[in-house]
Amino acid sequence: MSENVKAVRAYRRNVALALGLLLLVFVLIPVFVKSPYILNIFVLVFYMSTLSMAWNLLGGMTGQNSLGHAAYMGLGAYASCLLITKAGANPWLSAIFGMVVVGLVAGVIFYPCFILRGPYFTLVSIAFGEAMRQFIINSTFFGRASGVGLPFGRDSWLDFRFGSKVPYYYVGLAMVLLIYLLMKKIERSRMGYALRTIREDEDAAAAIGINPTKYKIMAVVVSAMVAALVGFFYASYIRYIDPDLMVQAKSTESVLPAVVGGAAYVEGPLVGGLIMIPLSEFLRARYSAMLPGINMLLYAIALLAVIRFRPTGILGWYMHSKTKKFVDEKLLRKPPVEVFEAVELQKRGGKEA
Amino acid sequence: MSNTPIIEVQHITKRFKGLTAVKDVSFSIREGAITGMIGPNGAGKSTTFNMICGYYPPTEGRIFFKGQDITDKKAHEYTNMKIARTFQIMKPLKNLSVLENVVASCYFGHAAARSEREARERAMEILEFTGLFDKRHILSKDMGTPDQKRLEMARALATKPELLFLDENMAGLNPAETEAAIELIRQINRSGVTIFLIEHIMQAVVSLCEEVIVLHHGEKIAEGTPEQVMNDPYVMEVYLGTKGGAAHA
Amino acid sequence: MEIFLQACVNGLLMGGFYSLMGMGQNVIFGVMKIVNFCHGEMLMVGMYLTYVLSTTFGLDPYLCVPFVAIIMFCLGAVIQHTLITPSLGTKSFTNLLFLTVGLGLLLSNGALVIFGSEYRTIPTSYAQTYIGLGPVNIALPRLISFCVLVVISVVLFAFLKYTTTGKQIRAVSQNPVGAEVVGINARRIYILTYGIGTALAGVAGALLTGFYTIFPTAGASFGFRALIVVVVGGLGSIPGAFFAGIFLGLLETMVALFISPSYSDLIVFITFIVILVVRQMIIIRRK
Repeated sequence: MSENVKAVRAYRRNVALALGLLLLVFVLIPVFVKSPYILNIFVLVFYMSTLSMAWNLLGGMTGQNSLGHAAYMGLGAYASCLLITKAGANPWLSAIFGMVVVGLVAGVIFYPCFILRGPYFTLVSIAFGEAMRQFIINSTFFGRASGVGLPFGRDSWLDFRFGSKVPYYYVGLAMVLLIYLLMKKIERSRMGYALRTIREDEDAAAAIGINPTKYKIMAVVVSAMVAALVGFFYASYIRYIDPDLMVQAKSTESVLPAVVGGAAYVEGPLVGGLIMIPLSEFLRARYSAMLPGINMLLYAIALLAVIRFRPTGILGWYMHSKTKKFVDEKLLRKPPVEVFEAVELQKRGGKEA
Repeated sequence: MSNTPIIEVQHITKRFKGLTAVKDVSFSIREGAITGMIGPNGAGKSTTFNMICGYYPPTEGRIFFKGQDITDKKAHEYTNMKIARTFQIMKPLKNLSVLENVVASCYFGHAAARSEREARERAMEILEFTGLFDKRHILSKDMGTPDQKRLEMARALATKPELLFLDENMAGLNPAETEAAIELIRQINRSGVTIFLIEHIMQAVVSLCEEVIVLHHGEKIAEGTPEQVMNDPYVMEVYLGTKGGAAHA
Repeated sequence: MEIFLQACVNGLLMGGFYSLMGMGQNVIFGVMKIVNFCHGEMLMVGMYLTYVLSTTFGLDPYLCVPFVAIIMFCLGAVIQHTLITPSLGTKSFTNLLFLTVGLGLLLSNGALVIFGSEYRTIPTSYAQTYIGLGPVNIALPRLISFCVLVVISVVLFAFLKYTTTGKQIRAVSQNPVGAEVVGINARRIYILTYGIGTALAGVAGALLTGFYTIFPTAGASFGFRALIVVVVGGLGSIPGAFFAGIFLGLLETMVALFISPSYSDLIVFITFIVILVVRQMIIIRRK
């Protein structure tokens, strides 16, 4: 038995070591990489992956396919920017304000919509996004089509304003980590089980005592709030926002990392984002002068190829591959699942000998 | 044994756009017993069942649980009242493992687990009880019908019900599997759970149930002990043909 | 009053396109229960196809319609056979949804790569010809297009109602398993359906070229309006789609006339959400 405990501890230590190394690499990148172009790509990866994780909570985990996440992101960006420019509020407080506003709006708007099942939710999310965008284009308060700019000035943590990309890199990295941990926590919690049960079958969910509407609202609110946070980050980084932020194509872009990476996994958007976004940026920088749209064309082809040949995404494929087996057994020395259970039982005072 | 029935159904009627599926049906379910409902296809069994489970409300009539009116309760409020159900067409959480299926159930209902550890622990117990322990890491979509039917029961039991509704839980099983299922249902009943089931398989109903209700064309035509019902001439005519008592497997 | 009548006519003529798009979407949704999110892009492909045909062979845009229909039908059939049918097997609604979304991305960005982002038109001798009808002036291309699409709608309706293939399509949309049991090859029907849906979108695109500019994202607004039409007109109902399309066209022009043209999109989307939710609530009440 104690051998089991040792094996499990060794495995946990190996995993922690591997993850720690990975994190260290990301922390050290700005120390060695000075090119703003490369750093910009990383920042892009961070916030797009976060947005995709927000989508994945609703799409991958709950099975509610939203195509309106650009609208939540845009709305969050607008809410926090307007509070900064019109009321002179502190950006960090504005971020919280933006998240609360978007959470409320999403909750109120989608409450009646969640009596709709299946494709209707998707349609409403598109219509909602377009309606939001049209509203902003027509509203003087929101700056109409010309958008809102954030003031430039001295570097300052208080104002979240920097000339260099390095601080944005670290804040972006922290945001990804934070949201990843949040999503992981949700996945393992009662809410996570409720959402996955709803995804598989709403009637079965109701039969075991899950109120589908309540949990779907929770999912959409959390998801929209995370998207709003990304909106705030984006606005602070680019320092200018306009209604184009909310176009339909942006919502689609936010879905791609999750679907390509594997929508059933919390890590899916991270994997997808880390692969797809640098590739797309590279193509755009290299060829977009000659062939505009080439990067999105690649996105489309990757998406179709994944859906057609690897319907569970890159991670779904990895999870059942020999590579994983090799990594688990040889590199991380993962003990068989029975060993875990034995240790688990033993910890509780042990029913089994 | 208390005298108030655990479930009392009073004059429920269900009409779908002019079609009357269930007409003025009343019956009660005694606490601690196994009560069965039988009837030919299209007799309104499933409709009645779904109304009692809060899946849709009856057009007329009331349903009481321990004297409390539950007619308008929603489906998801039932496990909080210690009532659980299974589905005739199995609804396993396909892309989740068997263990996760049951863990999900442990998180909800009146005795919802407060921690992941508690939920997993209880799920393990239930898997052992229902004989699915060895298959706990299989994805539920990869299991056969008998195991999926068991999983339906395991998921319902994980909410710690006092009253369990089983919707054709033995349909599609072979005789040996049916026998095993009957034994499991008996065990559940002995552990103090009142059971109400609808079933096609005569053998199961006769050997399990203390009381039987017979529906035909949406109306109740008989109720009583299995012997009484089987010997009722009208029941023999409409449901069993003339043979009577023959297994309908 | 004259302005009002003129707006009504304009709305009606535009609504015809929404109807045609909606009917194509409806046939697809009815049979496969998937929302075709690249329907608007198919319209755009139809436009470019017309453009290519008329610039290389000097054909009049309206003479291109049959060719566009045939080519688009084949395109749809190929897409269905190679991409959608295999994914139908996985029963993953998410995947099917993003399959069509991905196709839309592929088509619009493909057009961007091939043709660039500039706006194109097909010049015709009658583009600026107007026909006076009492107080109302109608642009000739719009009138011709409308007449053609009304004919197409009627033909489609009759095809589904009276021909054997049409009946098979309706059978599959009612109950795919039952249809297979009675010997209908569902795969063939899927190919046929998606082909017809795509062809309808392509024809709508071809008919638009007479008076509309051609650019890679030209289809987007039509695509979403097709979805509105389907939902408002009732899933599977061809006449419903027809009238919902006309209604949508009228609604747009009325908002533009009485409120402001810039609000027409906003109001259309909000109306859609409200109709959808209210109708669903009524359905739930009735249950």
